Amino acid sequence: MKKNSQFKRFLKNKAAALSLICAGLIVILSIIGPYMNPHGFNVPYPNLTHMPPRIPGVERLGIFDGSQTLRNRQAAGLGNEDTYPTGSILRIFNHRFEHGAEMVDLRVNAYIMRGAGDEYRWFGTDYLGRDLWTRLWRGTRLSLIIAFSAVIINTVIGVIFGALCGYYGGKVDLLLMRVTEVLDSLPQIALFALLIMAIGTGVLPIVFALCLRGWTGTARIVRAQFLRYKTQEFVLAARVIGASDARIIFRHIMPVAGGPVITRAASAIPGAIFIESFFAYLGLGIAAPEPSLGILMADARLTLTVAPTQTLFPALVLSLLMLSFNMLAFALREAGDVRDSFNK
Amino acid sequence: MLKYTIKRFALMLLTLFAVILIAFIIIRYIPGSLLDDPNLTDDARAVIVAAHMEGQPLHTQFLSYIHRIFRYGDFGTSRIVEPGVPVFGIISRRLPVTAAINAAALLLALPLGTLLAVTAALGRGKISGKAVNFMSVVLVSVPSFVLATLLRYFIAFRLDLLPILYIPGGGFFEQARSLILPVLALAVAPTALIIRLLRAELVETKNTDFYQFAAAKGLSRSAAMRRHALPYSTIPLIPVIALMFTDVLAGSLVVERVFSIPGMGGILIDSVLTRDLDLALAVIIFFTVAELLVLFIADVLLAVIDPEIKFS
Repeated sequence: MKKNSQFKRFLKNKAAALSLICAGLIVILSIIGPYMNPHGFNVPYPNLTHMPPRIPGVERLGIFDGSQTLRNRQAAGLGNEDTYPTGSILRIFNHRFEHGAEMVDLRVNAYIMRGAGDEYRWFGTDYLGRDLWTRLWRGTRLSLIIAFSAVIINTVIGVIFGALCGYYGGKVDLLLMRVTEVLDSLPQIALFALLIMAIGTGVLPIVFALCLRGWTGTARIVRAQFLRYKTQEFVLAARVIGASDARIIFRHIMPVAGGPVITRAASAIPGAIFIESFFAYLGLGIAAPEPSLGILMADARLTLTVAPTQTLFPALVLSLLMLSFNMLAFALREAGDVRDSFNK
Repeated sequence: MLKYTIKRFALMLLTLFAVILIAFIIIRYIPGSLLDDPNLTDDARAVIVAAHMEGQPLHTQFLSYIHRIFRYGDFGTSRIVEPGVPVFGIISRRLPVTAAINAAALLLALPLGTLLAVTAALGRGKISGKAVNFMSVVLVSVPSFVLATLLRYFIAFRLDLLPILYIPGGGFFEQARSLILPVLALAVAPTALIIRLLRAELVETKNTDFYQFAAAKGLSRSAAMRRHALPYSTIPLIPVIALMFTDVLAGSLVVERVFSIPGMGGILIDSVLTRDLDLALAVIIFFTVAELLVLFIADVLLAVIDPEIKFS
């Protein structure tokens, strides 16, 4: 019943509903996005590198029309059909003379210029000519898979660990809690670096690194919950009718004690997405050619000023993803916090 | 108190020793190091074998490594990232800029975060409070390297207000100017965190009797907040804020990369990826020491401010 009202309060929160829609949209696009056009995520087009975005229909509005500004071109070369095919030059501006030569800046249609007037790359292409729409959503999917699997593993380990500690207490508790304390007192950055040296880069090392000590917080919460509930009458009743320890833990205590675990898991998701993209950006994450949001941003780092959309699209998706998951976690926590609803 | 501090310090040294030992074993014994490179000349190989005492038992190697660190400050020599340069020299050359941006980011984040948290707590339910709240959620969510990239594109490139890259040489002023954006990008996450934590504490404190009394005797809301609520609410956050330093240090790894700053982050990544043995080990030891110190300070502060200790 308590959970039901928590869920109702959660849905009343407009920001939460909006984030749910936003996160849902990104998740759906990450599933279907890579299959929405015929270009594979790892298929290079050597003559279509660093293309600007061009989206059919939208291009009539003057945005995402495959246009690109070229600076410092010689005016004398503009008539050359090989370099500038008919219709490729949209606008010539900034006429000037430098060292006696007439120089201009150009606004061109990059697709017509490369002789691919009927091609469309919705979000442009990267330095190898790979389609960035496909790579973006495939990368989002991988980031989400890594984050969700890490959080699920952490939650399972944390729940089991915390339940054992809280339910049995005594020596088991003392020993297991020492383990979590030792894990928490290890240096994170150094540990990540060592882990990567020892087992290399890739999806599994990153998940492993995320799970190494990500569960200790959950374990502590579950332990506290179990300490609170294990002495109550309904547990005693269950024990009297002969329920086994496992049954009492998972069928009787866990359903009552699980609320904070869900909140905790929800707030761990943006954290995991962040750490994955953080290490991918540094080049310590997953290996090429597989994209992830961090890798896309790292790939685009050097072309920021000439092809900003290569950076801006993954930056936008990553930020929106983090924002909506954070908002969801906050809303969930607020909905679960009874004190707050009294204060209002 | 003193006893606890000493105990905690000893524990820190023990952890440090354990991490160094594990790091030493992993780095010396994983396959794929420079020594396995068939293109390495015999002379160069002989130098490394001699320096690392290859072939000797592990404990001899390890003790000699520790001995050379404490006796001569000798962390070995870089072989790949900056071939032939002593590791100590590389680190001492790169440390100042990393230390500078970390310190500047924290010095910016503390007052700014406090100020905005007070604004949010005073304006609870009003537009100002809601705006600060929303801003803090947004800023907590945007990763530091995304923010750094956006700052770089819009402020440095489009508006052309500040340098787009770090300027290593030049005068102090020019160098400082090129560090403004990195520091800003680095300071945002801790600022947002301080806002969230401190605001929650302040809102709780507003319900206490002593705050109500301070307001009732005629102090203005902001004076009551500043003089009475703020000192009380800041105390439980001190350990958390100390712990934040680790996050800022981690953040500086990526922010340095975005702005091409030659700091500690670059050599950590490069040495780990190229398996530059001595350099990787030394940099990992550096980060271990930094993080363990932060944990130690946070723990001691927590013990200092624990009310049960304070009132007994």
